Amino acid sequence: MDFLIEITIILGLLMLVVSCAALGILWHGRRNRKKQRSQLNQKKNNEQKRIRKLDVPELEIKVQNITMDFKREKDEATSLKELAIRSVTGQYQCEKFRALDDISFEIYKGEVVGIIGTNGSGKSTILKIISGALIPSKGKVFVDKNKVQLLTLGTGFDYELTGRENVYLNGAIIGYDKKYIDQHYDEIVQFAELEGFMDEKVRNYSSGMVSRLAFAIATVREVPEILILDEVLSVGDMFFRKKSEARIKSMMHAGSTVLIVSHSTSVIKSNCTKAIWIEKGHLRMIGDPKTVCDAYEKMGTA
Amino acid sequence: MSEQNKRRQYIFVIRELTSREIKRKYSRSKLGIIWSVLNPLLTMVVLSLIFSQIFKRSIENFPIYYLSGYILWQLFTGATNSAMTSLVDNKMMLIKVKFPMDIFILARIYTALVNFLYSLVAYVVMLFVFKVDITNKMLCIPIVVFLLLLFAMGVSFVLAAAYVFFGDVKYLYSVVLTLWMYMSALFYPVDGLSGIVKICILNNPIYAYVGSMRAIVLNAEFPTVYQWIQMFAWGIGTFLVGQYIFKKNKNTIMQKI
Repeated sequence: MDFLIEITIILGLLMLVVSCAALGILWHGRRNRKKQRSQLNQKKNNEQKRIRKLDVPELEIKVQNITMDFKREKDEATSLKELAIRSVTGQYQCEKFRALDDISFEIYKGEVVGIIGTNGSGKSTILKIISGALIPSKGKVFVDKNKVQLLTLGTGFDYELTGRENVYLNGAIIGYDKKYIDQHYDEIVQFAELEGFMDEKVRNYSSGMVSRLAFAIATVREVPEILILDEVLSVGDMFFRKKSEARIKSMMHAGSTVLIVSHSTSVIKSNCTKAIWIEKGHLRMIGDPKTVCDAYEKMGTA
Repeated sequence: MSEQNKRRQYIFVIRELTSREIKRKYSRSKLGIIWSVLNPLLTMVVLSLIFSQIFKRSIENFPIYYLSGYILWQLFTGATNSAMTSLVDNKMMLIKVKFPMDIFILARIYTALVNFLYSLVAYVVMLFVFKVDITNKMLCIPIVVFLLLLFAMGVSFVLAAAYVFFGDVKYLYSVVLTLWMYMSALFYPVDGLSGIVKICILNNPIYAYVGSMRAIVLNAEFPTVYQWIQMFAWGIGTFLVGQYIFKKNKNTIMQKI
């Protein structure tokens, strides 16, 4: 029995030592990282100052030689067994999939920029990189991440909850605090034209009602300095669409910088001051919306 | 946004996510939220009937002996099992919203804690039924639960990261849990055992928590020094290791998702 107790005590002490070591490593790492971060910030500040000096219109977003690689294993091992077998037999191969290849552009304050391109060309990837959700494999993005707002519809909607509960859930997820939602709750309901339905479960809503609610929640926010719209301009019936377009337009013209991703060239032609065409990860054209859209349409017919 | 505002916002998000999970769990039933207490209560009644009638053992107050372990075990498995799939379940949100990913894991763990508190209500009812004395030693229970949660969090971080890469982890883990449950002495006394099994059980982190809980509730004793060391070391150690692994793999997880 004595020997049992001894073993347990030794094991316990060992665990203590291990956890202490882990704590030390973590603490050390954090200190180092802090140092690195402050250096990085300084560099960034200098860079931004330099840019500001050079350009008269204020540079808002600068994308510099962005390359994004996704690792894709050749017929991917989705089970541990497969992986084990492959790594033992040396069949473990990685294939790189290049979603974005050396893309750079600059966006100035107050510009409304449309990004077009066929499905899977990397449009959403570039938005994710700008908003900071993804870190590019190569290259740099200069942008104040706190200014960026990605407008998304219905993120985290739960069909088992009531409309009211969804307003709070969805609002929390896209970054409103409780007070803000309390204050704007009536405005949301009114805009979505859902008075009297808010205590109903969303499961019983029509799909138009769901998207109206989603749109109303997403757009009550104060206009951010950099607004990113990922295919949000076609919601609900004809009448609601008019209303929503008017709202988006008023957000656009509130002087903020806007990035729009869309398949519809007419949306881009009528709203943007600049267009960027990305095709299969390559930057094809950048410039006047009409010229770029025409070229894009031509590719479709050719 | 300042750091403090951000933190407040994260806490708000965690609470909203948790209330979603809890509301939707019983959303199709008539009684709704009452099931959160009723369900564990009925389960406990059935279990104590079984254990007081069928398995009459040498242990005094066997139903409580079992239930003390049972609620902690439920907390641990509930937290780790749901946190494991949290990243994959919330894939769409992860892509669209710029949150730290930990939020989804923490929300699931918080959900498990809230569920645990509901079962605790049922547990207290059982304590009265079986005439267990309420003592001031029970003030230790929150500490034990907190340390168990830290341990569960550490495990969850690792599992959640692993689950993103391999769906198999889920099935593997359920097998591991079965073994783990039998190794945690949930429904048999430890004293009668010997050899390798006993070593395994005595060094099992879960058993440290379960054992302390039993000492507090059944014997009105504080956990031993050795138990405290075990609980703290496992709790804090696992939490730090789990978080470290998770942080290191953050970017690869994001790409994979």
